[in-house]
Amino acid sequence: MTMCRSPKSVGANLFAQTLAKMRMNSHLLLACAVLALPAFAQELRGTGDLGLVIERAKGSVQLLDTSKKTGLQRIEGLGDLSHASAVFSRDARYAFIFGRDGGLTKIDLLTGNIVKRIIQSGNSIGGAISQDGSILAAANYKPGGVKFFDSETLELLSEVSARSAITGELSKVIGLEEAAGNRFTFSLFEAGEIWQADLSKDPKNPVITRHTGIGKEPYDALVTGDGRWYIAGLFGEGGNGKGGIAVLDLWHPERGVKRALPDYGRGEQKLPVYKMPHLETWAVAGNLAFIPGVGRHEVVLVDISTWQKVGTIPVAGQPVFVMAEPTGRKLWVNFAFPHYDTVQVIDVESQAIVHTMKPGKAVLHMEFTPRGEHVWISVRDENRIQVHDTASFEKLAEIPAQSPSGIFFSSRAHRFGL
Amino acid sequence: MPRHSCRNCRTPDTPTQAEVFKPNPMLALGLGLVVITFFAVAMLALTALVHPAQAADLPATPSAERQHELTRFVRQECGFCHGIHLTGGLGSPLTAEALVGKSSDALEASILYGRTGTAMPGWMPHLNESDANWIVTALMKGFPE
Repeated sequence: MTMCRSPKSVGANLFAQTLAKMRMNSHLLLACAVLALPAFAQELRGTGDLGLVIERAKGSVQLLDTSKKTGLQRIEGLGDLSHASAVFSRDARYAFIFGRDGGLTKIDLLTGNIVKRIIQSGNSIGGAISQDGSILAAANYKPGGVKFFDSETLELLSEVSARSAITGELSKVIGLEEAAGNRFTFSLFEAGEIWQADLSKDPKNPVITRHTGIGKEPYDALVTGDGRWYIAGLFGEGGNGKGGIAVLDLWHPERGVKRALPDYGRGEQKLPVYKMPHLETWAVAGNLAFIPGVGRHEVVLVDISTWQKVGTIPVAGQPVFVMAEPTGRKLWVNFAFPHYDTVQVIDVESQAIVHTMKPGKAVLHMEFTPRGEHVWISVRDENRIQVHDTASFEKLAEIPAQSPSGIFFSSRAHRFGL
Repeated sequence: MPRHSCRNCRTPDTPTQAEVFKPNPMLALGLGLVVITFFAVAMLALTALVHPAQAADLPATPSAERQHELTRFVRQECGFCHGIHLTGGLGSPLTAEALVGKSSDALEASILYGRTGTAMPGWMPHLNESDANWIVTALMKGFPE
């Protein structure tokens, strides 16, 4: 009977009360079945085709249905979402939203309710969830560090202060990624260090391994889809102080952090970086990986067996996201201001741009449906999400959204490094 | 002093008392020139007093429409690093409290030319000097929503 309690929206409550009165005695069971879920899901259903979009200006999220290609419900009151990200519980029912203002909000995708919301720091950038789904980790700018929470209750388990032993200062934490075995890896922006936190023995006493001197200003990081490599982009390295990456083999952390592409761009004039690129997905075809150029209008090809730059693909602007379709066959690229009205598609095999589209001003993010037949694109200033067929590029649907930014589908629940 | 009255004074083709009565064309012309020059000088002096910044040849204040664009620009584009509420992120906070005691000239230079050794890019040519001046003034007062 617990299911009868779930809807909390006013409309649903009124509906619930009316129905409950009408059918209180003889139809209690039927009423329960109807009331258990909000209007969008008045049937038993899974969450595999659900997701959400961050509405950054209003501090709300909108629940999405990727089968029906529609928005389901807006959930408000999530604070400052000007830079926000989401991870999912391992049953893919709950989303955890990390907000700029340090808010951490647990949302039930089935009922559309906020299950719990806490303010865990003053200024946060994102988070991750452990391999077994039991631990959430939040990366904080202020005060710089990482906090670990029980994903069931959002109770604080432990925290790590990102104070470098070398500089003695607190650093902003970026690129917090899950690594297998209830471990997390993250980078210290100011100190230029990569730290590993091992919570496998005792989540209340994380064991920290520190890799120092990994390069200047790591700005974002990713873990490869197989969970093996942690790669941090270094803003303060390379020509004119932009470029270079730091690589940690999570199978062999004892081998330490290796630097790659150290001379990338050296001696060449670079363009201003109006938005930090993201390193979120890692497209690998054979041994080739594709990463956004920093201060350059190109995608960089890296051979991951040697960690050498082996080529570049000129594109329409400075890439922000270079995202591989789940098949790995094509890359979708969006761009920083002022080219953020454009999306380009690169065929991995031929390394050629096979499609260029202009969805509108301020394309901020793209997310593929779990097997990649569609891509959802958020267009901030047009206040909409566009759904495109990844094979034909045809636009299939538009969904109104208020200043949409990140789009997150529940299939992330089962992927590494998120 | 309202600016429109100054503009009237300066207008070269405004008839003067001397021109209307024409007692002597040469005298009238001379008087007219003297009167016009006097008012023009007075106007300039007053403008300089009232608007010292403009006297130093700085660009004009952005139009209302441009101010609207700039407000959105700062909240959205600058907001990626500095936060939509300007409370800071990878970039430093830009709230009025955070900027107390900072040099507005240095802040304007940061906007236009970037800050060496940091992730802050220069925004020329997308923003000009008057844009930067307006943004810094607005930030220091507390930025509009």
